[in-house]
Amino acid sequence: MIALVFAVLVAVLMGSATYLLLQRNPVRMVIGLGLFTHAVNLLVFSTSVSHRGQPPIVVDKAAFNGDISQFVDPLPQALILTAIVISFGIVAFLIALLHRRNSLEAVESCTDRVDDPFAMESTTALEAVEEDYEWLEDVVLKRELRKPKGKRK
Amino acid sequence: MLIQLLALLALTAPALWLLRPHRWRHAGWLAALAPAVVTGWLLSQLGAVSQGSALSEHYAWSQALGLALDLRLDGLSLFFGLIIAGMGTAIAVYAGYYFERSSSLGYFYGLLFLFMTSMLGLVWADNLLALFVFWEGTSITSYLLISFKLTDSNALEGARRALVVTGLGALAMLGGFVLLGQMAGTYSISRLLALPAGTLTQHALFVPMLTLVLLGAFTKSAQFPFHFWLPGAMAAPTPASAYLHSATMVKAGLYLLARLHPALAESPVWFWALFVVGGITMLTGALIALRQHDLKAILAYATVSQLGVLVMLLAFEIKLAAVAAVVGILAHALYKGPLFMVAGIVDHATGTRDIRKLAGLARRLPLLGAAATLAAISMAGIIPTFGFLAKELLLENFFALIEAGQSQIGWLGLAATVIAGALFVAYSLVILWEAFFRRKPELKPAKIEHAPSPLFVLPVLALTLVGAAIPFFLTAIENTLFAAPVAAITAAPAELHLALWHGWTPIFLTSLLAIALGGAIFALRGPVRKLFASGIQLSGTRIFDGVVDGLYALAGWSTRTLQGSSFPTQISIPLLAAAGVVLYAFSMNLVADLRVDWNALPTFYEVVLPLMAVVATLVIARAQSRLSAIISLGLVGVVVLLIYVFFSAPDLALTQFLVEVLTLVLLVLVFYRIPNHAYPKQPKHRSMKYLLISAAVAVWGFGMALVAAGEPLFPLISDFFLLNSVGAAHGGNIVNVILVDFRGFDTLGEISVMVVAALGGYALLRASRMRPIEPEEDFEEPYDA
Repeated sequence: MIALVFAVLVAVLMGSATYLLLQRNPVRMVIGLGLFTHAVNLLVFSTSVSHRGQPPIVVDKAAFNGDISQFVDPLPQALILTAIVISFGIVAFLIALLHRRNSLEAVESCTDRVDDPFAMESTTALEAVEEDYEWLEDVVLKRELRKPKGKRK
Repeated sequence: MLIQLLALLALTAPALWLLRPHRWRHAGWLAALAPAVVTGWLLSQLGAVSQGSALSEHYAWSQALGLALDLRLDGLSLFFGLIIAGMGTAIAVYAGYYFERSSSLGYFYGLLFLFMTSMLGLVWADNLLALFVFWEGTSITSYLLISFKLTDSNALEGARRALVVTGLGALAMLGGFVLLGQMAGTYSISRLLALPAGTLTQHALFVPMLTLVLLGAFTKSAQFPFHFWLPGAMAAPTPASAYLHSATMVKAGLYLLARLHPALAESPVWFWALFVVGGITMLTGALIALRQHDLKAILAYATVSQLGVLVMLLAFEIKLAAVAAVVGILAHALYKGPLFMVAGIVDHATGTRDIRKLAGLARRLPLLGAAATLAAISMAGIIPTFGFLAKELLLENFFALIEAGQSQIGWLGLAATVIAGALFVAYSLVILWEAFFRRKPELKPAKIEHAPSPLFVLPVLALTLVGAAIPFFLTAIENTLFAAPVAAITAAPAELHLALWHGWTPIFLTSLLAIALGGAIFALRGPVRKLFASGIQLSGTRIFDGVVDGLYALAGWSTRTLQGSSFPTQISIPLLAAAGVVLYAFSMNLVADLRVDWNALPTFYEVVLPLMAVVATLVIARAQSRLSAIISLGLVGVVVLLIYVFFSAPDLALTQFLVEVLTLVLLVLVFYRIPNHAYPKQPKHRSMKYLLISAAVAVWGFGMALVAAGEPLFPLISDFFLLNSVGAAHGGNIVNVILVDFRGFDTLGEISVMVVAALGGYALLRASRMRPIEPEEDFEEPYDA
């Protein structure tokens, strides 16, 4: 039955995570990624849940006699520990990326088509460049407005 | 000594490059030193090797893998080595004048000497794998030499074609070599040839092996239908064309065929493959040559044709055919090489190679005219040249076959040879007459801009004179130079009695017939050319380019389709593919095979907590405010954490706790600063599509979790860690020991990922501060001007 509980939990987490990842809102995408991480970690963890036991820590090393049946499987734990840390790194990087994108003020939805890497002639490159420098126009415009009337064209 | 000579040539390559030889007018003579030394040494070995002794050298490399560099100098290797080194000497001198202080001379010499090293290694190697390595060396240097002029798109395309065709052939050949090595039990060529007759030909895998090896030989030697790369290779500088693409590299295929001849030639498959392919190549090349106007193109197709002749000769097992092949190889090198060099000098002097613009060169450049005439009449096979001797032997071979009872093959070969011979005569005369002797060209004549110095013509003249002299010293050299390679091809001691003049034999009369036919074709060359030009031009080049373009299109299509151009498509496809596999497994009724322990019951908390997580997840999916979504994510994290606690994973719980707090703080901090954009709602049908994809992924996760929770299918490695953690690694916390000790390098990788992420994040955060600063008030505005 434990297996069933884990399976349902993993299924719900994965389904929702996928749904969130497919959205346009970048915040939802980040949260989707976080949920996906939990789902995959639990999936790996479910390999060791059927056999309960002590945490895999030998408290008294001198008295250890090779009896290992008391411990749970340590391998999934080692794998998940690595996975938790790495996925945190990725989520943190993604958040920094979103922050940077936001600061550029170029709001595009994630369904926008990107340039076809195999196209012979780029169609979107020019527009993208233009978008990147929209702030420049704002600056110029502001400066224009700030000047005394006589000097303006 | 062989390895030292190879090293000498290999070291000459960078040395010449570094010396920047274009600074000296006569740098060619310096460059020619190394190949001259090799030639001299090879000549000194001629006596011993022709007596039947062979020089072997063994350099161990990896004993365990049975890899070693074995070199061996026997009659055939010596013969080819002489051609390579001798021609190399002449080409080195010639190139010095051809490039005439162009700064690319050093680069050219570098490539040329690397090629020479590979080519000599190829003919001296006594190991199939070593031979393959040298073989690829020649392909690569040839590629670089063809694309020598990096700004010329023709050159680049020609180089690509040559590399792909010969490279694919070489890969096939490598497969063939591996099969051959497995069949023979050795990769050593000399041991392989010493196997009792029939060992290989009776083997079940003989035909696949032979096909693969022949593919390699045929692509390298430009046999039909792979011949198209050779004319494309003519974009190379003329010294390279003369050396690689007529005298040496294209003969590598012939060398391989000759080398393996004793072991493989008994088979009828060998005979028919070589006879048919060689014959077709001979006729195709000769016919197309007559259609060309570019001097080098004519010579390129003539080379294709001549290579066909030689392949056809190697089909036979009789001694006469081997003699004809050996003599033919040397004769071809000694007339085709010089003719290419003549074409280069003509190009150099007049700025064009178009035969329609040339006329009367012999009168103004008498030395060049003499060399061209000598070489061309040898190509035409007119008595008393070396080419004539080669053609006599070729015809004699077919007459011998007819007498021996194989009359159909004999007559067929004879007829094809006469036609090809006539065409040889015709285009030799075309070159001679139109470029050198006639008074008025068809188009606007090209002027001689600067006449070549006699030293430039000297190497050409020297090669043609050697070729012209050989028929008159036959008795002196026939048994030192020709007998040993013939013996290597036929695997039987050979004694030769060659003669230029046999009297009015049927062979001579046939030869005369070919010359007369050729003369007739020459006389009617106008209409003949028109006829050919109107014919269907089945161009291998076009097919090849079509295939390459098609491959690009296929790659583009598959990338666009499978990878998609938006993020949702990019993640949907792999997720759906994974889900598809699990759904398929379910449909195959594999559920019964799940070895899940259904009796292991969860506690009360272990049911309630996951239910909480499910609710929190659904809240996230429907959340309108970002804060509630972030808090719900935290809730899911806490549930996961508690699950780790319940199932005896304290380390995981601790780490999860830290990470969860950090993530929450980061998310709140950053999203506090990012304005909440209103994103347009997804269209209904797209929402439905995404829901379906999510459902499929959920089913995938469900199935995977059930499989994971079942009894393991294979013994686990975990017990090893549990048992050895205390004893071997002296650590009590087994998870920690695994991370920092048993799998320490994985953790190093993990740390690297974190470092990269941290650096990246830092750079991004820094970059976002680099907003344009407000300009000062009195800043002069260029727009205002």
